[in-house]
Amino acid sequence: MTLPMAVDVIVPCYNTERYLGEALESILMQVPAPTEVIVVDDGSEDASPAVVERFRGSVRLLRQPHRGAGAARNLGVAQSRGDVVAFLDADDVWTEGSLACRLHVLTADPRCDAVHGLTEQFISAELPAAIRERLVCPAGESAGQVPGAMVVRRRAVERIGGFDESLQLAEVVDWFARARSSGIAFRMLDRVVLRRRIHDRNSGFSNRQRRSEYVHVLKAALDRRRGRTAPAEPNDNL
Amino acid sequence: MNLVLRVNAPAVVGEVIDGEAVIMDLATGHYYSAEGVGASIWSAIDAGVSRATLSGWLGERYPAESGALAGALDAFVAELCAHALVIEVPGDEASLDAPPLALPAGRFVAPVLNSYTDMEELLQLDPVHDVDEAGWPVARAPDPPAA
Repeated sequence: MTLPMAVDVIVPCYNTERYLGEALESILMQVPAPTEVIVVDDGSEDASPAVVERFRGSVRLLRQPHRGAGAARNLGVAQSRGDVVAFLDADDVWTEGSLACRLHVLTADPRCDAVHGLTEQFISAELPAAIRERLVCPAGESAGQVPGAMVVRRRAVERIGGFDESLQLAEVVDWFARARSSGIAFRMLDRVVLRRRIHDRNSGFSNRQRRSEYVHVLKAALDRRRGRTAPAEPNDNL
Repeated sequence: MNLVLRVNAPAVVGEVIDGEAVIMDLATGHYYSAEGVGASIWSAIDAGVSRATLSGWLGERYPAESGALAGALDAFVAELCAHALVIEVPGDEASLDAPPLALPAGRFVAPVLNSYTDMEELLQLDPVHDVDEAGWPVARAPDPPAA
């Protein structure tokens, strides 16, 4: 089976040595395999770069000082050349056939800009019982929009602009809100394509300043809708 | 002890930005907005005041429309409570002389809570449950041992 178009996968990574290998294996087992896999190491202090070395020849490693997941995704997109871009966080995994089913829909509909699948969440199996008991893992499948469950045409990414690098937690919500304002055509598949790992180092919704990011992103979306600002505010980080 | 109005944290977070209160409920993925008097009321609730204090401030600011104030305030607070954005609980009231965001000048305009559900999918997969300062998803403290 061959790819209908060039597809690059961007994997932002920060101190994820425990899970990065599993994430990369889940990408490389896809049939057909993506054109290129790019890990953007966001200034990890652990052995994440060494994990990438194990995949030398199959995975390209980019490195940057620690600037956040949004900046890492932006660097990966800027350094990639595929017609289609996909993302996978370094602690998550794709399901079997994840890429092919999304590409199938994208290829069949030239007007479609991006295809999403469903996400299910799981508690990382290696964690001690005492930690597992404290974790909250929402049950069931979710149609929530996250980068790891999406494939998107490069032309759409360029229209939307990059992830806002000033945001540390809400950059994904902001990006999808801008995508909607830009009139991006999404399709949602009724199939799980992403398994999202719950562990003891997930990004935390943990302090008031970060929670405030979400509110500001929603305010910006409201203002765009009411014409108080430009229709979308693509940033030029790509 | 007095009844005071509290933001239903941690799932609910609100802030006044450019004179508009924007309120988010991560438990549902819904969000809300209020301008004018509604934004001032939200700023006061966020600071931890009672319904009686709010009523007093409105009466001082809009004496000519005193007949409409109580009903409008009750309706607005009831709507905030119905959406589980705010709860009314026994507690100590914040000591404030006025709402953090001043009530608008001019005639009284009854506060309106606008609600939006279009971001549900975007907020759905974000950390929402039982968060505390330790961060999500390390969220739920072990139950205390039985006595």
